[in-house]
Amino acid sequence: MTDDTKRYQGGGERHGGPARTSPYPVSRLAGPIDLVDVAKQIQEADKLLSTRANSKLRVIADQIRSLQEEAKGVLEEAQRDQDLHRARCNFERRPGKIYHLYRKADDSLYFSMLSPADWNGEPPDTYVDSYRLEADMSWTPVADLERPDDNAELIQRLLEAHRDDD
Amino acid sequence: MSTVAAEAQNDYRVADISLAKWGRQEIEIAHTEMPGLMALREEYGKDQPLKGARIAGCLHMTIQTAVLIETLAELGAEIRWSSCNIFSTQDQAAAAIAEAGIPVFAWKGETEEEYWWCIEQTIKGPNGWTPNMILDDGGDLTAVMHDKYPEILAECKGISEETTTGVHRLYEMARKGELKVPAINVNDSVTKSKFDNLYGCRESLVDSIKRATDVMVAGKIAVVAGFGDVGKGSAQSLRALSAQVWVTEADPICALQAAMEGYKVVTMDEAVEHADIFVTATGNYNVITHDHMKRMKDQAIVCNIGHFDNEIDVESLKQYTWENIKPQVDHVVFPDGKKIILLAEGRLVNLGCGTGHPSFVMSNSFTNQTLAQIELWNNHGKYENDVYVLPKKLDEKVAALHLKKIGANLTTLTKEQAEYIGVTPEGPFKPEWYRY
Repeated sequence: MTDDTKRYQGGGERHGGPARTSPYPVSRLAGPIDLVDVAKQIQEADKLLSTRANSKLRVIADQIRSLQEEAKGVLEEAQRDQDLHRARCNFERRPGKIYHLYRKADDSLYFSMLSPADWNGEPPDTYVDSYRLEADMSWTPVADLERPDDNAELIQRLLEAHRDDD
Repeated sequence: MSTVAAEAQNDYRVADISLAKWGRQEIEIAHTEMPGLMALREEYGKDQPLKGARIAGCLHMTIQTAVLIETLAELGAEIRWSSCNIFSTQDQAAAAIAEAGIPVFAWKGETEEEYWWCIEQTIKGPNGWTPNMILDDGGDLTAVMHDKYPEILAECKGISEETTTGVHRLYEMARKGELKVPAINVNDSVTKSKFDNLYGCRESLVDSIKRATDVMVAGKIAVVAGFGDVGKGSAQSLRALSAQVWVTEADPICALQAAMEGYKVVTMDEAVEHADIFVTATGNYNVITHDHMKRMKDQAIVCNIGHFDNEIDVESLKQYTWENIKPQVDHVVFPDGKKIILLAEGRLVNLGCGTGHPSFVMSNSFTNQTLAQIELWNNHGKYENDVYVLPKKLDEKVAALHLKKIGANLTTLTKEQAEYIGVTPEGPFKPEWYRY
């Protein structure tokens, strides 16, 4: 039978149960560890863990940041589209058609069916931009209409690479 | 910019060319309701009496007008067209005409500047096309031609003018010696003003008020400003739906006519606080002023069926908040929170909020227009630079062309009967000064 009770002299709460369940060393054969070490280890572990978590979180944070940016972009676009929809327009706008935005002297915006070219470059009000109304009621600036689609190209490349692997 | 450029290449400008099929179907329905124009196609189609005529037209681009345009084309004319009101175009009609290859520049909801742009497109076409005939409604095209393009106007053989306001401007110009081209006043053909203005408005006024507001007309007090032909038709239709109709008039004869019809004749000042629906049909300006509208009831409906948009002082309302309820229907909010419902921004309500006059009545007007164009194009030498009306014989012919369609049987006078009243059995039946 081992003398389980001798060594520990320290204070603190006493363990009343069997030694094997004691949170502190209760045997001569036990290693020289005490609560301070535990605390240290926990601290160390915490540090390691937090580093690990940090790096994981950083990935998430990065993702959040990029999502936030994307969200901001979406919101800004929505805001712009909303603003565009609020611009004065007397005719019924039809998806797929291109309309031309002008600014009046009093700073109000309005849509016109006529492009600056129709006015021989001399429209009665300041020309802002031309937009195509999409089926989802969003607006695409005409400059973007003919810009090559980056994603489409990337996807195309990936697909081709995949085919080459086969 | 290639998409934009492609659009600019078409020799027309409409809201949406894909509406053409719908427009074509409506035009075909209108054919059956426009017997006068169809009869002219049959009668003159072979002779091509408008061959060589290059017509610049400026008239509400509706389905009915489309039938007029295609009638002119079938009689040999080349045509470029714009609408004479920024809100009156029916986009499907314009699309159908554009698709038929006739240059048309019109869409519902133009800006003021776009409106003038559209007119200009009808004066100068590709390959040096310029008009040698003018068909006008309201006189804007006539004015632009006189003020800005006198050298093109010099080539023009004649003007036919559709409406009261335009005719008024023509007589003014003739009086001052400024009219440079003979003009036919189509408006004062009996088969125009006594039909289109009266029976047309009688059907289209209430239709447009209903479409815009769905208001219950019965029991309401409706004020009709002006008791000319348009006012007469408007008052009658409002009464037919059991509104109490009050009339304002400046002319004692028309005022007495209104009273004899049983309408209460009041001044606008007296009426504003009581009435629910206001319709202006005077051809004058500032008939409903800012002060009037300030005193109106909450939710009073205010609209105009006269040609120009200045009968109601809409400009004075610009200082207030406007809440757009739907196209051509606005709440104007006064500082005390009261709202009035303004229809079509004070422009022609029956075209802005409805679909204009029914085809049948427009067939009367447009048959006159076509006959006036034929007359001026072929006989311009007979006319001075003045304003004329179509001979009564042609006026009667227009009416006769419409009788069969509605199953009306005309009585033929015996020779003796004709002699008894001093006419021939074929007419004309009335002296020039007869008022109908």
